[in-house]
Amino acid sequence: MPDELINANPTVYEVREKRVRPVRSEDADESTPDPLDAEEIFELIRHINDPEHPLTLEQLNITQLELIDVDLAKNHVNIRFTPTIPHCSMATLIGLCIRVRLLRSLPDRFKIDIYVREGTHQSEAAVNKQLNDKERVAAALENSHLLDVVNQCLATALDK
Amino acid sequence: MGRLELIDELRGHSGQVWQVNWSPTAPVIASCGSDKSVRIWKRDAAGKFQCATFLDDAHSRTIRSVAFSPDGKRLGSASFDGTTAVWEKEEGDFECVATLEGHENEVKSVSWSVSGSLLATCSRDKSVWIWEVLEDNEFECLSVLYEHSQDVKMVQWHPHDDILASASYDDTVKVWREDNDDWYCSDTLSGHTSTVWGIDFDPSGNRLASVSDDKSMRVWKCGEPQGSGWRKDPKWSCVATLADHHTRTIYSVSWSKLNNKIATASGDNSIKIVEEGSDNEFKTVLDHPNAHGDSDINCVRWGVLEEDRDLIATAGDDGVIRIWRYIPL
Repeated sequence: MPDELINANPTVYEVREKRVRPVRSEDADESTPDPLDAEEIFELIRHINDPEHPLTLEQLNITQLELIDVDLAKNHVNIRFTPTIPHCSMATLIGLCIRVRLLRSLPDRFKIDIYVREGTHQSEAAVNKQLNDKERVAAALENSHLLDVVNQCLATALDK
Repeated sequence: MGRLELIDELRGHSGQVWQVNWSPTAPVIASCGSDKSVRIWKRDAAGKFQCATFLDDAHSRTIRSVAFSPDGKRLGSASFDGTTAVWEKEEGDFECVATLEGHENEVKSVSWSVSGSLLATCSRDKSVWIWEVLEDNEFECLSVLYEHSQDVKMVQWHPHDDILASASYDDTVKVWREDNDDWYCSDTLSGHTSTVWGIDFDPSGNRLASVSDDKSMRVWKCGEPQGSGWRKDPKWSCVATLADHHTRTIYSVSWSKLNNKIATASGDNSIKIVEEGSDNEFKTVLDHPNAHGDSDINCVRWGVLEEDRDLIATAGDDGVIRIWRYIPL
């Protein structure tokens, strides 16, 4: 961790203690698994801890339900996230944490794209390119130091 | 549309398989992956590939690339651990005879020149290295080429001459030539709008196919030497672009030296085959979806022996290598 925080005083947003999701017609049928949806993805990532604050991605408004798209026909999940500040050097790490959480939780058939929300980061294209290069993600996850940091951020999500 | 018939499945790797390559001299395939091993598969009397050798003591991280020398006696393996190992066949088994060090981080690709006397490697450190194979398994670094501005994904030697091509995360392909022991970039092929993952020359070596994260395949043609300086190098121009050739990143391309067809493999789980028509247009003649189930396909390679001219080997994130026979319509 750097001596000085990248964003020392982030805005903290209120979160609902427990999310109550509307009952869907397919939920009633106990014989089939419920299809994956944006609510479920949001539930997986909203408790991930920020790399430099004891706050979750939801509390910092980095992840929002509205920025998650699921296309079941194409087995595709698209996630956009909002860095707390446009020059946040933690953006790639945050995106990596989201990717690792989903790689470990979702069935292998899902293709996952993760992007910085349009216009919210000064190095948007570079961050997006790196987060979606699976070879560089694979290499990053073989770096034990980086993996420790990612696992720390994910620990709070796993408790829930 | 033609079709692909699945004729063999090679299981053994745990975790994703990154690359497969055929031996130029025997019905043998080498593969490598995230389990840090190289596997050598030999075709048995029944025509099925069996894992004959398992090499797991040279690399401490993912093995990204593996390639046979032109005489089939040597093997190079490139790893995320920053090294490239050279293996030599001794009494039927492969032994590690050299470890090439120097890259600052992950080595992404290894390729042998047609004579077998040169080896190229490339890395996330943005460089391409050219090594000379000396006697007694000594390897000397001839050149360290720093002209790509980003991670270099793949190196591929020309099929007949000592000309090297490299593909990069900086969205370009570069062509490298030698002049009096001096290696230099003779051309930069710009046009792709994202990472170039795979490149391969056509049988003549005068054309090159490239595939990219921008989902397109491009074909480049080598022109006549031009320029007024002391180096009159031929320049390459893009002669065909298959935009939206796949629906996700295209990771690999193979241009058959025997049947002249181009195979591509993608993160959209499909294999495609492209043929050049009599009108010089490139047309997709096969689209095989879900070739490795729901998994990305990382590598595709046409067979290189005459008897294997219609065979294709593919490697996927599912840890499986598949052998297909292409049956044209």
